[in-house]
Amino acid sequence: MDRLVKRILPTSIAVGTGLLVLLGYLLPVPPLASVRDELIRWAVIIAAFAFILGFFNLLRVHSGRARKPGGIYSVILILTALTSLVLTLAALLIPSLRFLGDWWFRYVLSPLQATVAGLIAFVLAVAAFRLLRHRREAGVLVFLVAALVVLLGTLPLPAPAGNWLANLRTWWMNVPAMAGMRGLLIGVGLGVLLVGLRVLTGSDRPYSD
Amino acid sequence: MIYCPKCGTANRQGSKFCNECGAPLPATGLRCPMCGAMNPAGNLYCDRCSARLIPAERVPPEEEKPERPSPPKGISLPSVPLGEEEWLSELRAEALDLAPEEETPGWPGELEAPGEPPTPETAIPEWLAELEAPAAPPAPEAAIPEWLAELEAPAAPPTPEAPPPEAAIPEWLVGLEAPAAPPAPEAPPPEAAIPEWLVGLEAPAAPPAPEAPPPEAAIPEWLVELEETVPEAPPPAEKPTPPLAGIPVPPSGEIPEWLRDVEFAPPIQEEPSAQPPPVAEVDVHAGMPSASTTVPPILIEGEEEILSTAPAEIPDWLKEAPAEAPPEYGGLVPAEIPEWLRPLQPREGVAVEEEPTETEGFLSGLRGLLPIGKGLDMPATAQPLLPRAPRPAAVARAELLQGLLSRPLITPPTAEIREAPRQSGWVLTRFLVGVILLAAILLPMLVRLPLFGPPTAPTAEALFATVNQLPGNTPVLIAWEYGPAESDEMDRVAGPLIEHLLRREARLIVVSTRMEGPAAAEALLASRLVDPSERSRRIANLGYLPGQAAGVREALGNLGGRTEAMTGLPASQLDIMADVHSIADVGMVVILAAQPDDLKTWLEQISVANPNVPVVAGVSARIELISTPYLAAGQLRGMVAGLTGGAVYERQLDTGWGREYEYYLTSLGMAQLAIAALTVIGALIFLVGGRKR
Repeated sequence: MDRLVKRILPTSIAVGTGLLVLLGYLLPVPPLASVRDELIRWAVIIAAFAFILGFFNLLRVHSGRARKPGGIYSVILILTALTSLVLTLAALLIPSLRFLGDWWFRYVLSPLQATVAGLIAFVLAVAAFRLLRHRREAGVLVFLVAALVVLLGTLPLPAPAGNWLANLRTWWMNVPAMAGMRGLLIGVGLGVLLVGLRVLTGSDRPYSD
Repeated sequence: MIYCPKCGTANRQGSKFCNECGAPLPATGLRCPMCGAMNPAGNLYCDRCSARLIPAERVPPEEEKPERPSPPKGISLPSVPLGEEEWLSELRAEALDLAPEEETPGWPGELEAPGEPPTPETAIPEWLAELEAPAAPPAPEAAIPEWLAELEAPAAPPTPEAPPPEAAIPEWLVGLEAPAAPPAPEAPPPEAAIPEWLVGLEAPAAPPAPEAPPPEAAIPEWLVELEETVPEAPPPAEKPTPPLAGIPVPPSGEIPEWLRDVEFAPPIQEEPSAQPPPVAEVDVHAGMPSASTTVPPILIEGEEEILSTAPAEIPDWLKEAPAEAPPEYGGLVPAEIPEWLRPLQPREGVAVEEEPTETEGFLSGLRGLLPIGKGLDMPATAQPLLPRAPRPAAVARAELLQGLLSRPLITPPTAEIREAPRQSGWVLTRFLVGVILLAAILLPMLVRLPLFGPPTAPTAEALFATVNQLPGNTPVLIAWEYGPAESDEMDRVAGPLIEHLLRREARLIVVSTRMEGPAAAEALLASRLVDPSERSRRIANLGYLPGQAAGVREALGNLGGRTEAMTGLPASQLDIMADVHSIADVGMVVILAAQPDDLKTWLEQISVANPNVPVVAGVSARIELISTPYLAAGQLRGMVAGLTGGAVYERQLDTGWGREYEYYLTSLGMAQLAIAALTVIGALIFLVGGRKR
């Protein structure tokens, strides 16, 4: 019974749903297309509920961590999440309180997220400075040269150095970088295809892990 | 069932690992003392080696004499629990129903009451049939061992003068053969020389015969069960009864010890029908039948002479050695133990060595399978090793090992890396990098630095041309896939594009797969929309799309079924959505993405839903490289990438935001120069100064 609930039933639902959606795309006749669209709609609804579950799971996890040393950050997280929830719901339900939601987003969330994102530049600068501290391999040197070319080539430097760097950057982006990126995309596409087939055949069961 | 301690899954009894998660399961049940295998809790015998799992606890029956020694626990005699073996109950039942004059073929029948059915094979188990084989056929007496023939109940009158020929006696029983026994009960045999370890096995005195008290014999307990209680018959008072009628009584010391307790039954006093014979009880715990107090006597000669047995006893060679003196036996002389039985005789004061246990192979865990003989465990050519000098290689390895062990512990490299940030140099480095970056960013705010020329972005120019050709009042679907973390850059990318669309009188339909997307869109749209009163006529923010790719696919097919996020109205009731129901009704799609997955998801779903709709993108600088293949493949009609692309677009559009873009571009350029300089300086420092670990 346990095996039926945990393994056989989810796998059957996943494989059946995947095959129906796939058939709906391959043979877009009315019955299959309708079933396909309905199944996709169900997936959207389930995803929305999963998001709600994730929110409450976040609260539950950090409620446990709040009692441990260093739990002040969990307390802040819980308060911030609840405040965002309350203000957003208030803005949606009461039109006159919409300004609260806008204020919270513009003056709290946006500066905080921008600040955290801005730290990336500082971390990357420090990492670039210490790039050769531990490793001096050929790959590291190539990466160093490529980073310098892209950094300087992006800048609208005055001619003739600016033009030379811009041309070098363009060649670098269009030839070696493009080749690598296309290879990467092809690999990702094949990987996605393989993963899809494995899920369709029940070899991979990410839903039951 | 065994429940997994990790996931709680119920597993089959005896499982070693969880069927669900593979975690090892706690061992339950009974572990075999012989082979160590785990058995279910209900097993009496091991499934692997058939050893007994539960020590036999013998519960003495109520009628049993208390002084009688109990059999050793754990004995593996052919015994069964009550109710599981039918042959024993059938045997008893048949014996009860049989007429006393019938003769039982085979030696079990000889020990039983007369009347054993002629086909005992159907009721006797295999192990008994094997024992029965030498005497089973109804051959002449010569085929029966003599000591068994003595117990046989002949139909004829006793003929002690005609013992069976010795030629028919098996060789291994020759030693047990009794010489001609004195037939006269008046001449009791001399006192038997019973070993001390057998004294205790002697049964208590049986009811004496009127004239010649028969000797007792210690019949094995499992044989007692086969005995049948014969109703007592009127004793033939006038007929002298020899100790063993028809059996030549051996001289003293010639009868096996375990037969000495066999005694003659007293004269039968009653008719067989007068008193039903009791049935021997079965000791469940001991796994072997135990005798009741009224053990049925064994009829030796017809119906007149009955050999009754003393209370059943296990074989002597299985019992502990008692220390009593051997008693006298009426007509039998205690026999010596045969040579082949002597090794089995327990000895006092000698510690029993534990049998060796097999440690390898499929017999591992079993004991005593291959007893180690003297000299077998040592190689025949074993010679004491002479001391010799070790080889130099071995000495070198030993010295190396000693040196390694004597070295102080080396701190792992990872620990050094983690400790490095605590060094003052590391802190100074980070401080200097931070100061340089901050100065590069803030300096353009204070001083106008004419370092950089006008930026160039061909893709942005192409996009501007595409949007410029867009007809008025065209519904444009905008995928707003960035949030506050990327808004500093993406707002400068999306701003000119959105304003250009608004200038083209396009109707903007905004959706997002990110939670913060609709709010970020609303903030930018409010800043770019000149007349806020036109918002409901120009903009429809359809909000968040859950479900990632599924949400995108669902939204592309059902734009009219959504709800406007700001007003809460159904999209179908909005004026700008009047003729827009799906992606097929959209004139252009604009993807504003800061992450590569968002761009890829939208491109994939749009190419399936409506591959003919033109798609343009405004992306962050970090995904410019991954977006370029889509642009080259034609899936993107145009692209604005990063702050540079936004500045180019802004310059072409001439919205009046040029000063702001100039400042941002200068700060960006200064920061890029600072990072490039730091990279070069750091590389030189560590190239010249050496690598640190």
